[in-house]
Amino acid sequence: MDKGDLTDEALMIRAAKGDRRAFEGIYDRYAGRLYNYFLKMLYQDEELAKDQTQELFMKLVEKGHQYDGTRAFKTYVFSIANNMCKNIYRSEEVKKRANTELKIESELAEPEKVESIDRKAFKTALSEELEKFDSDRRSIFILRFKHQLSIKEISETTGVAEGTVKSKLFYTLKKLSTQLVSFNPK
Amino acid sequence: MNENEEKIYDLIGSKSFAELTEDEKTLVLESLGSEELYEKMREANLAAEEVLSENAPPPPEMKDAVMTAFDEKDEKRGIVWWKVAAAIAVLVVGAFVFWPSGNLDREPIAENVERKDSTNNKEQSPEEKQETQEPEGEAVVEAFKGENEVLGEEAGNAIKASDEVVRNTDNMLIAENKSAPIDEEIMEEDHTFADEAPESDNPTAPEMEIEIAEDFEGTAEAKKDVQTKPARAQDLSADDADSQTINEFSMSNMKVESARSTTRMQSDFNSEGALYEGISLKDIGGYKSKAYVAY
Repeated sequence: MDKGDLTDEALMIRAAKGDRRAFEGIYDRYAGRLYNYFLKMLYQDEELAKDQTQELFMKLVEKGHQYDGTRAFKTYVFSIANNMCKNIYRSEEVKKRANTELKIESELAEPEKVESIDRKAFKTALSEELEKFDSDRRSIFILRFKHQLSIKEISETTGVAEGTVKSKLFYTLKKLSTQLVSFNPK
Repeated sequence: MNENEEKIYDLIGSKSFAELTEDEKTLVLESLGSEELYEKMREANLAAEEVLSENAPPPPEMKDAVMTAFDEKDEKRGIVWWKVAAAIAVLVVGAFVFWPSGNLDREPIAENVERKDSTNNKEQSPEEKQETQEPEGEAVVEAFKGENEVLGEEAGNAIKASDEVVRNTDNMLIAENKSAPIDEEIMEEDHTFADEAPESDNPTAPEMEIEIAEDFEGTAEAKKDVQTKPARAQDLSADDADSQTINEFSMSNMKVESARSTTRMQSDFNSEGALYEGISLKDIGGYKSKAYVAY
C-alpha cells in the first residue's frame, strides 16, 4: 500500500515504530498546517513559529510511541500545538514583544486601511482583531477558519465544550462584522 | 450558552438571509436586530476562511533537521535492541555453560575416582576400578583419623611434652656425641619403618617400639649389628649386652621419635603461626633454640 493511501493515524503508528517514510509522510501533511497555525497564534513571528513547529515534530519523534491510534491524529497534534501556544502566552517576555509588534504592524497598516477597502485591508484588519482575542478564542477561530476543523474537532483539540465553541465563534464573527462593517472583502 | 446563538452560527455558515425560513428569520432578527448584520457576519465568515486559508510554506531547512532527529532516534532504538539481543544471547550461553556445574544430580566423586584409577590401573574395567578405589579411600580416611588421633594426643600432652622435648633433645644431643653410629643406624631403620607405616595399622610410637624390639630380638643380623657397636657394649656379657642394646635402642628410638615429633610440631607452629589444636607456642613456653636447649 502506498503511503499516500494510509490514514494519518496509520502513518503515525508506523512512524513510531521507526518507519522513516511514514514519518516523512506525516511531516509533509502537517508541517505547513502546523507552521501556519503557530504563525497565526504567535503574532506572525516566523522564527518563533518555526521553532515551535520543529519542537512539536521533535516531540513526535521522542514520544510518538505514546500515540495509540484511538484518537484522531489531527486533533492530537493540534492539541499539542495549542498547549505549546498556551505555555508561550504565559511568558511575559513574549507578550511584551507581541504588543510591540502589534503596535508597529497597526501603524504600518493604518494608511492602507484608510486608503482602500480591499481584501488586503480586510486581512490586516482581521489580523488586528485576532490579536486582541484571548488565546482560547483565537485558537478556536484559527482552527475553524484556517484549518477547517469541525466544531467537534475543535472541542476535542481545545478541551472546550462544543456549545461553547459555537458561542465563541458567533461572538467573534459578530464583533468582526461590527468592526469591519466598512470593509468589503469581496 | 444561548441555543439561539448556536443555531444562528449554523445558519450563517449554510444559508443566506433570503434562504432562511420564517421561523429562522424571526430568530435571527430577535438575536441580531437586523438583516444587515447577519449578512455582514456571513461575509466575515467567508472572508475569514479565505484569508486564513492562505498558507505560508514552512522553512525547507526544518524538514532536514526533523528527519535528522528521526534518524538519530531510530539509530538509538536500533542500538538499544542490539544491546538487548546481545545481553539475552550472553545469558543463554551462560546458562548452558554454567548450569551443569550447579547440577546436584551429578556424582563428581565417582568420576574423580575413575579418573584417578585410570591413571594407575589402565587395564582394569570401570567396575573394578571403583571397587578397588573405595577400600583405598577408606584406608586413607582411617589413616587420616589415626594420624589425627596421634596429633591430638601429642597436642594434648603438649605442655608435658615441651619439657620432655627439651630433655629428650638434650639426651639426643648427648646420644649423638656418645653413640653416633648407632643412632645413625637406628635412624635408617626408623626411616624404613616410617616408610612402611602407611601399609600397617599406623602404630603409635610405643607400639612401634615394641615391634622394633621384637624384630630386633628375633633377628640374628640385628644382633650382629648390635655386637659391632661401640666399646661400651663389648664390656657386658652377651645376654646383658643384648638386653642393654635393646634397651638403648628402644630409648634412642623413643628419643628420635620425640625429636621428630618436636620438629614436626615446631614446623607446624612456625608455618601456621598461631594455634595448633588450640594451643599456641606461647602456651608451651615458645620456641626453644638449640643454644637454650644445650644450656
